[in-house]
Amino acid sequence: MEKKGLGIIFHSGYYDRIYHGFSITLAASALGREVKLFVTYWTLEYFKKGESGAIKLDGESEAYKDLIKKNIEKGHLQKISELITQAKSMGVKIYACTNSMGILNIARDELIPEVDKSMGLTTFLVETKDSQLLFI
Amino acid sequence: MKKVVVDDIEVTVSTTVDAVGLFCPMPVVRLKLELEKLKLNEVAEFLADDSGVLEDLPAWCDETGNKLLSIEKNKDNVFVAYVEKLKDN
Repeated sequence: MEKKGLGIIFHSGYYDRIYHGFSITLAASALGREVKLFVTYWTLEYFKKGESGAIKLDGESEAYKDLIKKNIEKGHLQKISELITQAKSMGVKIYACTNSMGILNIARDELIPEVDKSMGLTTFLVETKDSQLLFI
Repeated sequence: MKKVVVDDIEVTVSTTVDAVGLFCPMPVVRLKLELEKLKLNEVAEFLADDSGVLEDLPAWCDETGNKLLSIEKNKDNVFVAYVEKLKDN
């Protein structure tokens, strides 16, 4: 039986949220599910060339931020750039939202080559019509 | 190649996946990628210290059609498992 696909719409620009989105992506992909990511708004910043190593955290205390950074240094947690590479190697598709690109004034050639295509929400929803959908 | 005894049966280990220090879901992801390189019926040794693997590994094997031969915690508090590849992806 064909396994149910998974679509994830990324909106947040914070490391912890994007990290968790990628954890779900990789776990689903390891289970043999087809995963498609729709990268919108503040998440897009991580998909600009030279930006995917950044670590922005969601309104947490300094102690928490230090904890995350230490865990990344130790290799317990990965940078977003590493998660993108990992996801791509497992066949995950990454699409950039054209609306967000317009608002943030980001051109297609400013995005990293791991982005498969840019598209509108309608196309993404058609692509994932039989999939489970998450919004992060 | 390394040989181990699992349930009184000698098993040849084709590869070792060392996921010690990695958090969920990376141990299972690493195992998946390593199993892709093996032939059917070959066995991977799997090491992890994230306690999530105790339930994640059986669930993953069940869902993907591979066989978990055993999983045990060793004296260093590392979970050691042996997984036989039964399915191509």
